[in-house]
Amino acid sequence: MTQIKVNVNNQPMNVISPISLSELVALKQINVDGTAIAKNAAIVSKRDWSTTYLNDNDTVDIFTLVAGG
Amino acid sequence: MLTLAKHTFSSRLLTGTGKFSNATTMKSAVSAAQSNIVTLAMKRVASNNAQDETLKALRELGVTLLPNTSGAKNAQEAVFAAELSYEALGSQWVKLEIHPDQRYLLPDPIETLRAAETLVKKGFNVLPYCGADPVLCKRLEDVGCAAVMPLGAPIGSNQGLQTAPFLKIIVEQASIPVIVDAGIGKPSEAMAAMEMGVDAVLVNTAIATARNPVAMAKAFASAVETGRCAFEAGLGATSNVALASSPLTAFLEPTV
Repeated sequence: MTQIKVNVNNQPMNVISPISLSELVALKQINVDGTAIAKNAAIVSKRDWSTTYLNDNDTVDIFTLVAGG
Repeated sequence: MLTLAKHTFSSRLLTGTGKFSNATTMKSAVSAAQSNIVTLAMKRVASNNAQDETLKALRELGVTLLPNTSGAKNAQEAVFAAELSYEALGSQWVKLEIHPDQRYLLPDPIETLRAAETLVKKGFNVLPYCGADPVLCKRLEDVGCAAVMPLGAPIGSNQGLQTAPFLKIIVEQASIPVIVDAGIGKPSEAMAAMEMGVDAVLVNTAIATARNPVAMAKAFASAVETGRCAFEAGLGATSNVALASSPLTAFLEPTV
Protein backbone atom coordinates (compact mmCIF):
# COMPACT_ATOMS: atom_id res chain seq x y z
CA MET A 1 0.00 0.00 0.00
CA THR A 2 1.44 3.28 -1.08
CA GLN A 3 0.01 6.70 -1.13
CA ILE A 4 -0.40 8.28 -4.54
CA LYS A 5 -1.41 11.73 -5.59
CA VAL A 6 -4.16 12.12 -8.17
CA ASN A 7 -6.00 15.09 -9.53
CA VAL A 8 -9.77 14.79 -9.27
CA ASN A 9 -11.81 17.52 -10.94
CA ASN A 10 -8.86 19.91 -10.71
CA GLN A 11 -8.34 19.21 -7.01
CA PRO A 12 -5.25 17.35 -5.77
CA MET A 13 -6.18 14.29 -3.72
CA ASN A 14 -4.04 11.75 -1.84
CA VAL A 15 -5.31 8.19 -2.02
CA ILE A 16 -4.00 4.79 -1.04
CA SER A 17 -3.04 2.62 -3.99
CA PRO A 18 -4.42 0.31 -5.28
CA ILE A 19 -7.68 2.16 -5.82
CA SER A 20 -10.13 1.61 -8.66
CA LEU A 21 -12.49 4.18 -10.16
CA SER A 22 -15.41 2.37 -8.46
CA GLU A 23 -13.70 2.79 -5.12
CA LEU A 24 -12.93 6.43 -5.83
CA VAL A 25 -16.61 7.10 -6.66
CA ALA A 26 -17.69 5.36 -3.45
CA LEU A 27 -15.07 7.27 -1.46
CA LYS A 28 -16.40 10.55 -2.80
CA GLN A 29 -20.00 9.45 -2.18
CA ILE A 30 -21.08 10.10 -5.74
CA ASN A 31 -24.21 8.50 -7.19
CA VAL A 32 -23.35 6.11 -9.98
CA ASP A 33 -26.52 6.91 -11.95
CA GLY A 34 -25.93 9.88 -14.20
CA THR A 35 -22.19 9.87 -13.66
CA ALA A 36 -19.41 9.57 -16.23
CA ILE A 37 -15.66 9.47 -15.71
CA ALA A 38 -12.71 10.42 -17.85
CA LYS A 39 -9.26 9.27 -16.76
CA ASN A 40 -6.41 11.22 -18.32
CA ALA A 41 -8.95 12.72 -20.73
CA ALA A 42 -10.22 9.33 -21.97
CA ILE A 43 -13.73 8.23 -21.05
CA VAL A 44 -13.90 5.02 -19.03
CA SER A 45 -17.06 2.93 -19.39
CA LYS A 46 -18.97 2.17 -16.20
CA ARG A 47 -18.39 -1.55 -16.70
CA ASP A 48 -14.64 -0.90 -16.52
CA TRP A 49 -14.64 1.25 -13.39
CA SER A 50 -13.96 -1.65 -11.04
CA THR A 51 -10.96 -2.84 -13.03
CA THR A 52 -9.48 0.56 -13.80
CA TYR A 53 -6.88 1.50 -11.21
CA LEU A 54 -5.34 4.87 -10.55
CA ASN A 55 -1.65 5.62 -10.88
CA ASP A 56 0.37 8.44 -9.39
CA ASN A 57 -0.36 11.78 -11.08
CA ASP A 58 -3.45 10.52 -12.92
CA THR A 59 -6.07 13.07 -13.76
CA VAL A 60 -9.67 12.06 -13.14
CA ASP A 61 -12.67 14.08 -14.25
CA ILE A 62 -16.02 13.07 -12.82
CA PHE A 63 -19.10 14.44 -14.54
CA THR A 64 -22.73 14.30 -13.62
CA LEU A 65 -26.02 15.40 -15.07
CA VAL A 66 -27.55 18.50 -13.60
CA ALA A 67 -30.43 20.84 -14.34
CA GLY A 68 -30.13 22.59 -17.68
CA GLY A 69 -32.04 23.82 -20.71
CA MET B 1 -47.78 12.50 -32.13
CA LEU B 2 -44.23 13.79 -32.39
CA THR B 3 -41.84 11.34 -34.02
CA LEU B 4 -38.12 11.67 -33.44
CA ALA B 5 -35.69 9.01 -34.65
CA LYS B 6 -38.57 6.50 -34.94
CA HIS B 7 -39.69 7.14 -31.36
CA THR B 8 -43.13 8.66 -30.84
CA PHE B 9 -44.09 11.12 -28.14
CA SER B 10 -47.55 12.36 -27.27
CA SER B 11 -46.42 15.82 -26.14
CA ARG B 12 -45.06 18.52 -28.41
CA LEU B 13 -43.72 20.54 -25.50
CA LEU B 14 -40.17 19.77 -24.43
CA THR B 15 -39.11 21.23 -21.13
CA GLY B 16 -35.74 22.39 -19.88
CA THR B 17 -34.85 21.84 -16.24
CA GLY B 18 -32.58 24.83 -15.59
CA LYS B 19 -33.31 27.84 -13.37
CA PHE B 20 -36.00 26.25 -11.20
CA SER B 21 -35.79 27.17 -7.52
CA ASN B 22 -35.65 23.49 -6.55
CA ALA B 23 -36.04 19.98 -7.93
CA THR B 24 -39.51 19.52 -6.45
CA THR B 25 -40.89 22.55 -8.30
CA MET B 26 -39.13 21.42 -11.47
CA LYS B 27 -40.68 17.97 -11.18
CA SER B 28 -44.17 19.40 -10.63
CA ALA B 29 -43.74 21.78 -13.57
CA VAL B 30 -42.57 19.03 -15.94
CA SER B 31 -45.52 16.98 -14.81
CA ALA B 32 -47.94 19.89 -15.43
CA ALA B 33 -46.34 20.50 -18.83
CA GLN B 34 -46.98 16.83 -19.67
CA SER B 35 -43.60 16.81 -21.39
CA ASN B 36 -42.19 13.48 -22.51
CA ILE B 37 -38.75 14.86 -23.27
CA VAL B 38 -36.73 16.86 -20.78
CA THR B 39 -33.28 18.41 -21.10
CA LEU B 40 -30.36 18.22 -18.71
CA ALA B 41 -26.80 19.52 -18.70
CA MET B 42 -23.50 17.85 -17.89
CA LYS B 43 -20.98 19.28 -15.44
CA ARG B 44 -18.06 18.28 -13.30
CA VAL B 45 -19.08 17.03 -9.88
CA ALA B 46 -18.55 19.98 -7.57
CA SER B 47 -18.04 18.36 -4.19
CA ASN B 48 -19.12 15.48 -1.98
CA ASN B 49 -22.77 15.28 -1.01
CA ALA B 50 -23.69 18.31 -3.06
CA GLN B 51 -25.32 16.50 -5.92
CA ASP B 52 -28.11 17.87 -7.98
CA GLU B 53 -31.49 16.25 -7.32
CA THR B 54 -32.68 16.83 -10.88
CA LEU B 55 -31.87 13.41 -12.28
CA LYS B 56 -33.48 11.56 -9.40
CA ALA B 57 -36.69 13.59 -9.82
CA LEU B 58 -36.76 12.98 -13.58
CA ARG B 59 -36.16 9.26 -13.17
CA GLU B 60 -39.28 9.19 -11.03
CA LEU B 61 -41.26 10.87 -13.79
CA GLY B 62 -40.08 8.36 -16.36
CA VAL B 63 -39.48 10.96 -19.07
CA THR B 64 -36.99 10.66 -21.94
CA LEU B 65 -33.82 12.43 -20.91
CA LEU B 66 -32.20 14.72 -23.44
CA PRO B 67 -28.74 15.71 -22.20
CA ASN B 68 -27.27 18.79 -23.81
CA THR B 69 -23.67 19.65 -24.64
CA SER B 70 -23.86 23.13 -23.14
CA GLY B 71 -20.42 24.45 -22.26
CA ALA B 72 -18.84 22.98 -25.39
CA LYS B 73 -17.04 25.63 -27.44
CA ASN B 74 -16.26 23.52 -30.47
CA ALA B 75 -17.20 20.26 -32.18
CA GLN B 76 -14.55 18.23 -30.39
CA GLU B 77 -15.76 19.31 -26.94
CA ALA B 78 -19.38 18.70 -27.92
CA VAL B 79 -18.63 15.16 -29.09
CA PHE B 80 -16.79 14.53 -25.82
CA ALA B 81 -19.76 15.88 -23.82
CA ALA B 82 -22.17 13.69 -25.78
CA GLU B 83 -20.03 10.63 -25.14
CA LEU B 84 -19.92 11.48 -21.44
CA SER B 85 -23.70 11.76 -21.31
CA TYR B 86 -23.98 8.44 -23.12
CA GLU B 87 -21.79 6.83 -20.47
CA ALA B 88 -23.71 8.56 -17.69
CA LEU B 89 -27.20 7.62 -18.89
CA GLY B 90 -26.80 4.95 -21.53
CA SER B 91 -28.95 7.16 -23.75
CA GLN B 92 -28.25 7.99 -27.36
CA TRP B 93 -30.25 11.21 -27.30
CA VAL B 94 -28.26 14.40 -27.39
CA LYS B 95 -29.20 18.04 -27.70
CA LEU B 96 -26.18 19.39 -29.48
CA GLU B 97 -25.37 22.93 -28.51
CA ILE B 98 -22.16 24.80 -29.17
CA HIS B 99 -22.19 28.44 -28.26
CA PRO B 100 -18.77 29.92 -27.62
CA ASP B 101 -20.01 33.47 -27.11
CA GLN B 102 -21.28 34.03 -23.59
CA ARG B 103 -23.19 37.25 -24.21
CA TYR B 104 -25.71 36.01 -26.76
CA LEU B 105 -25.09 32.25 -26.55
CA LEU B 106 -25.62 32.02 -30.28
CA PRO B 107 -24.83 28.61 -31.75
CA ASP B 108 -21.70 28.22 -33.88
CA PRO B 109 -23.07 26.87 -37.17
CA ILE B 110 -19.83 25.41 -38.49
CA GLU B 111 -18.86 23.57 -35.32
CA THR B 112 -22.46 22.42 -34.86
CA LEU B 113 -22.60 20.90 -38.34
CA ARG B 114 -19.23 19.20 -37.83
CA ALA B 115 -20.24 17.76 -34.48
CA ALA B 116 -23.64 16.68 -35.79
CA GLU B 117 -22.03 14.71 -38.58
CA THR B 118 -19.65 12.94 -36.19
CA LEU B 119 -22.33 12.18 -33.60
CA VAL B 120 -24.77 10.78 -36.16
CA LYS B 121 -22.03 8.44 -37.39
CA LYS B 122 -21.46 7.33 -33.80
CA GLY B 123 -25.14 6.39 -33.52
CA PHE B 124 -26.52 9.32 -31.55
CA ASN B 125 -30.00 10.76 -32.08
CA VAL B 126 -28.84 14.31 -32.64
CA LEU B 127 -31.07 17.31 -31.99
CA PRO B 128 -28.98 20.37 -32.80
CA TYR B 129 -29.69 23.81 -31.37
CA CYS B 130 -29.00 26.13 -34.31
CA GLY B 131 -29.65 29.52 -35.78
CA ALA B 132 -32.88 30.00 -37.72
CA ASP B 133 -30.96 29.53 -40.95
CA PRO B 134 -32.89 27.47 -43.50
CA VAL B 135 -29.73 26.50 -45.39
CA LEU B 136 -27.99 25.29 -42.25
CA CYS B 137 -31.10 23.38 -41.20
CA LYS B 138 -31.07 21.54 -44.53
CA ARG B 139 -27.41 20.73 -44.07
CA LEU B 140 -28.10 19.39 -40.57
CA GLU B 141 -30.89 17.29 -42.01
CA ASP B 142 -28.56 15.99 -44.75
CA VAL B 143 -26.02 14.73 -42.21
CA GLY B 144 -28.72 12.73 -40.46
CA CYS B 145 -29.97 14.79 -37.50
CA ALA B 146 -33.20 13.55 -35.90
CA ALA B 147 -34.62 17.09 -35.84
CA VAL B 148 -33.46 20.68 -36.03
CA MET B 149 -33.86 23.11 -33.16
CA PRO B 150 -33.70 26.65 -34.55
CA LEU B 151 -33.85 29.52 -32.10
CA GLY B 152 -36.68 32.01 -31.76
CA ALA B 153 -34.43 34.47 -29.91
CA PRO B 154 -31.32 34.20 -27.70
CA ILE B 155 -31.46 31.60 -24.91
CA GLY B 156 -33.32 32.76 -21.84
CA SER B 157 -34.20 36.13 -23.38
CA ASN B 158 -37.99 35.62 -23.49
CA GLN B 159 -38.05 37.75 -26.65
CA GLY B 160 -40.31 35.39 -28.54
CA LEU B 161 -40.25 34.52 -32.23
CA GLN B 162 -37.83 37.15 -33.51
CA THR B 163 -36.89 34.77 -36.30
CA ALA B 164 -40.47 34.03 -37.43
CA PRO B 165 -40.03 34.62 -41.18
CA PHE B 166 -37.05 32.26 -41.27
CA LEU B 167 -38.76 29.66 -39.11
CA LYS B 168 -41.53 29.57 -41.72
CA ILE B 169 -39.00 28.79 -44.44
CA ILE B 170 -37.39 26.10 -42.29
CA VAL B 171 -40.77 24.47 -41.68
CA GLU B 172 -41.56 24.64 -45.39
CA GLN B 173 -38.30 22.96 -46.38
CA ALA B 174 -37.67 20.45 -43.60
CA SER B 175 -38.33 16.75 -43.93
CA ILE B 176 -37.39 16.18 -40.28
CA PRO B 177 -39.15 17.66 -37.24
CA VAL B 178 -38.54 21.33 -36.44
CA ILE B 179 -38.43 22.20 -32.75
CA VAL B 180 -38.22 25.87 -31.83
CA ASP B 181 -35.73 26.15 -29.02
CA ALA B 182 -34.81 29.26 -27.11
CA GLY B 183 -36.44 32.62 -26.76
CA ILE B 184 -40.07 31.62 -26.29
CA GLY B 185 -41.28 33.75 -23.41
CA LYS B 186 -45.05 33.40 -23.46
CA PRO B 187 -47.61 30.67 -24.13
CA SER B 188 -48.97 32.83 -26.98
CA GLU B 189 -45.55 32.66 -28.66
CA ALA B 190 -45.44 28.90 -28.28
CA MET B 191 -48.90 28.78 -29.81
CA ALA B 192 -47.83 31.03 -32.68
CA ALA B 193 -44.90 28.72 -33.40
CA MET B 194 -47.17 25.69 -33.40
CA GLU B 195 -49.70 27.44 -35.67
CA MET B 196 -46.82 28.05 -38.05
CA GLY B 197 -46.38 24.30 -38.32
CA VAL B 198 -43.33 23.61 -36.20
CA ASP B 199 -43.45 20.14 -34.74
CA ALA B 200 -42.62 21.04 -31.15
CA VAL B 201 -41.19 23.75 -28.91
CA LEU B 202 -38.70 23.62 -26.08
CA VAL B 203 -39.36 25.93 -23.16
CA ASN B 204 -37.27 26.43 -20.04
CA THR B 205 -36.77 29.97 -18.76
CA ALA B 206 -40.35 31.13 -19.35
CA ILE B 207 -41.65 28.33 -17.15
CA ALA B 208 -38.86 28.16 -14.58
CA THR B 209 -38.80 31.89 -13.86
CA ALA B 210 -42.57 32.45 -13.79
CA ARG B 211 -44.05 33.45 -10.44
CA ASN B 212 -45.89 30.13 -10.49
CA PRO B 213 -43.89 27.72 -12.65
CA VAL B 214 -46.37 24.86 -12.34
CA ALA B 215 -49.31 26.99 -13.50
CA MET B 216 -47.16 28.41 -16.31
CA ALA B 217 -46.19 24.90 -17.42
CA LYS B 218 -49.85 24.05 -17.67
CA ALA B 219 -50.51 27.23 -19.68
CA PHE B 220 -47.72 26.29 -22.11
CA ALA B 221 -49.09 22.77 -22.47
CA SER B 222 -52.53 24.14 -23.43
CA ALA B 223 -51.02 26.69 -25.80
CA VAL B 224 -48.92 24.10 -27.60
CA GLU B 225 -51.86 21.77 -27.96
CA THR B 226 -54.13 24.56 -29.22
CA GLY B 227 -51.53 25.83 -31.67
CA ARG B 228 -51.02 22.35 -33.08
CA CYS B 229 -54.76 21.81 -33.36
CA ALA B 230 -55.08 25.10 -35.28
CA PHE B 231 -52.26 24.14 -37.62
CA GLU B 232 -53.83 20.77 -38.34
CA ALA B 233 -57.22 22.42 -38.87
CA GLY B 234 -55.63 24.60 -41.56
CA LEU B 235 -55.56 28.34 -41.02
CA GLY B 236 -57.63 30.52 -43.29
CA ALA B 237 -55.90 32.70 -45.85
CA THR B 238 -55.01 36.31 -45.02
CA SER B 239 -56.03 39.21 -47.19
CA ASN B 240 -55.14 42.89 -47.38
CA VAL B 241 -58.73 43.89 -47.94
CA ALA B 242 -61.98 43.01 -46.22
CA LEU B 243 -63.72 39.89 -47.37
CA ALA B 244 -67.29 39.91 -46.09
CA SER B 245 -68.33 37.20 -43.69
CA SER B 246 -72.02 38.08 -43.96
CA PRO B 247 -74.10 38.11 -47.11
CA LEU B 248 -74.12 41.62 -48.54
CA THR B 249 -77.74 41.57 -49.51
CA ALA B 250 -79.35 44.92 -49.16
CA PHE B 251 -82.24 43.74 -47.00
CA LEU B 252 -82.18 46.87 -44.83
CA GLU B 253 -82.64 49.13 -47.79
CA PRO B 254 -86.18 50.05 -48.70
CA THR B 255 -87.60 47.81 -51.32
CA VAL B 256 -88.51 49.41 -54.58
